[in-house]
Amino acid sequence: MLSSNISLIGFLRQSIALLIGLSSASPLLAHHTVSAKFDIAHTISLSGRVTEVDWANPHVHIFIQVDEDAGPAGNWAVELESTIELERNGWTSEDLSIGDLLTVRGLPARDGSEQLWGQRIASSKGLVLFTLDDQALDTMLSERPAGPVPRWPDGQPRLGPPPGQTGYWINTGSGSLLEDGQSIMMDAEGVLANIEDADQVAPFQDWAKDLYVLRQRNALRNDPLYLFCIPPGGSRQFQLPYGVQLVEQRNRDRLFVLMGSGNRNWRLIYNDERNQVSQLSGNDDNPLFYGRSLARWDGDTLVVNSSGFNEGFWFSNGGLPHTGLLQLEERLTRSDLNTLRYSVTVNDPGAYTRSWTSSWDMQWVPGEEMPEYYCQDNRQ
Amino acid sequence: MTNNKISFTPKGFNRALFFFLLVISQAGFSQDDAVVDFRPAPRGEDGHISFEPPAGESGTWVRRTSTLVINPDSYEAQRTLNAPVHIDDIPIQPWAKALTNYRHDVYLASEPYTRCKPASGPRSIMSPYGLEIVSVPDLQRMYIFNISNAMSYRIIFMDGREHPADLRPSYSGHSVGHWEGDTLVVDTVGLNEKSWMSRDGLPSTDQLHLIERFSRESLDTAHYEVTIDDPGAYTGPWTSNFVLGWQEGDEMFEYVCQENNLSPESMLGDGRLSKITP
Repeated sequence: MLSSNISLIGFLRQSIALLIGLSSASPLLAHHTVSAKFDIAHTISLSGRVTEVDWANPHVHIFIQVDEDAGPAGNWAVELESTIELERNGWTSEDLSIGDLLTVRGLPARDGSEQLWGQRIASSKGLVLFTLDDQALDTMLSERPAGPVPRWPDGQPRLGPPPGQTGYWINTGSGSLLEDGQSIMMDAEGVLANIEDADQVAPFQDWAKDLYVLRQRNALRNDPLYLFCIPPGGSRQFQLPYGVQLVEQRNRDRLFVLMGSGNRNWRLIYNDERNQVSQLSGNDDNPLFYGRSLARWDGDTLVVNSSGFNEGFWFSNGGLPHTGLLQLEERLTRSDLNTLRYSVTVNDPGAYTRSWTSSWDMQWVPGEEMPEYYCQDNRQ
Repeated sequence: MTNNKISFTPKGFNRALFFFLLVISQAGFSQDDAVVDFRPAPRGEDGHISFEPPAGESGTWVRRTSTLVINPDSYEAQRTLNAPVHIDDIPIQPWAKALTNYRHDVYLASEPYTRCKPASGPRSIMSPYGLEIVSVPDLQRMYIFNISNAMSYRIIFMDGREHPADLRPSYSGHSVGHWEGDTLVVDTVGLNEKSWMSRDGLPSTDQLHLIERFSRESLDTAHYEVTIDDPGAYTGPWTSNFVLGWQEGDEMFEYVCQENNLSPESMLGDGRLSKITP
């Protein structure tokens, strides 16, 4: 979408005071599908003074007061990426002050409200240039020390850091679940480049395919995660941009999946065949967002079987439907220090004609804690 | 319970009535808390007190009281009576007292917790349904996992590190812990002003510095003490405490505040709704 902006960055670097380049094609940017809210076919420019800086997740907003002669008058909300991405790229809330004069170019909201997806922000304040791209992350990933699979004293692979270290896993691959063996184009949010490819994504039942196509045609704008911060249950926690941290508590036969996206929830996986207890009394089969997960080791692979899901969330990016019959078998295999193969077999006779499998690699981010991100900080 | 047998010889009607009521009240109490486990607090491999269950068991912690201060102006004043300090005896700044009163005037309706937002400090410990305080010695850290409180968690670094100099305010802040005897002492800074530090409606600022002290008297009971040092809202540090009870046999369960949040717009906070829409 913004390839022309990206190519401009080098040129603008020396001359524009403040610039933000955003690429929705990049897997780690674009918290939600920008096109769901903003009209990607049109670009407008506005000038005005900053009235408020809302430095919050999931999206930072800068409010500018636009006068009649500088564009459509009003108090415009300029929406940007999350604080995490802005700060990763060297921009902080202190870099803007109330009263600063900005010129903003970006995508107008589809509903005609005074909102803009900021693509480029120029200020007369100082010779500072900010860009948002994956360069910092790419550099970090390429400079990671290699190493073998860290293991516990009994030889079992560690899914977390080597002793005394820290780190977490991120998804740098494509967006939504896609049946293994298929090769089609989709963006980081799982929006198909070509809607005719829908049949190849998964073995949908007719109704499920219709719903999937409808969600795709709507640019995923009804995504309950996006609208209401509904949790990323199912496989989705392994797809979202800020990663997962796996904390093994072997003395209690359980594993925590700590989520960097959504609402920084934990998910418990038991390794000893016990069922989750202490739901409300008499409520032990209440369907859940994260289901009930039991794990066992199969060689060097942790096999996690989950069921008991409710239907109130999307279990994958991209809007693939599921029903309460959903059962997942997730297989986690660490092949070296830096790589975790995540493979999930979907068995949902309510929505699919057969079981099917989707797999991708998670990448280790060494030496860092997951950044703090709460979807509910400021729902977009 | 076996320790509340009461033997007496009535000498008069009033005394009989008194003991009768005493027995009734204790019987009622023992029905609520059917079994009190007097086993000692378990210890971890490092010899320190563990806030986890004995091997092979499970359990969670639940607050026994839920406010830091006695507050006659609280909209639920009765509920504050078990607190150890009176709001008039804490060094609260006038603006902070006025804001507390305002919050109670509107029944604490603007508390971020009720908008599914997380909190740190005492609010995270006094949240309902239960929590776990988990040690992961291998990672030299502890975690506090909450069932409510956004079904989220806090990290307590136990590796001797200090707070970073360039800390940005966040919901969790930055927590480092150490042991003083059998007491876990947690030092936290870097908290934002978007959540409330307690159910009391007491304000805090981003200057808030918390010292939380966790101890476990027995398997059944833990003691939580917090020192609140916030020159933005108070004129000096002050301390309160409450008791946590062990819910033997419980495991943490899924609690998703948003599931039945009928006012998702309110998650935006004051004034934002009109400007930002999905």
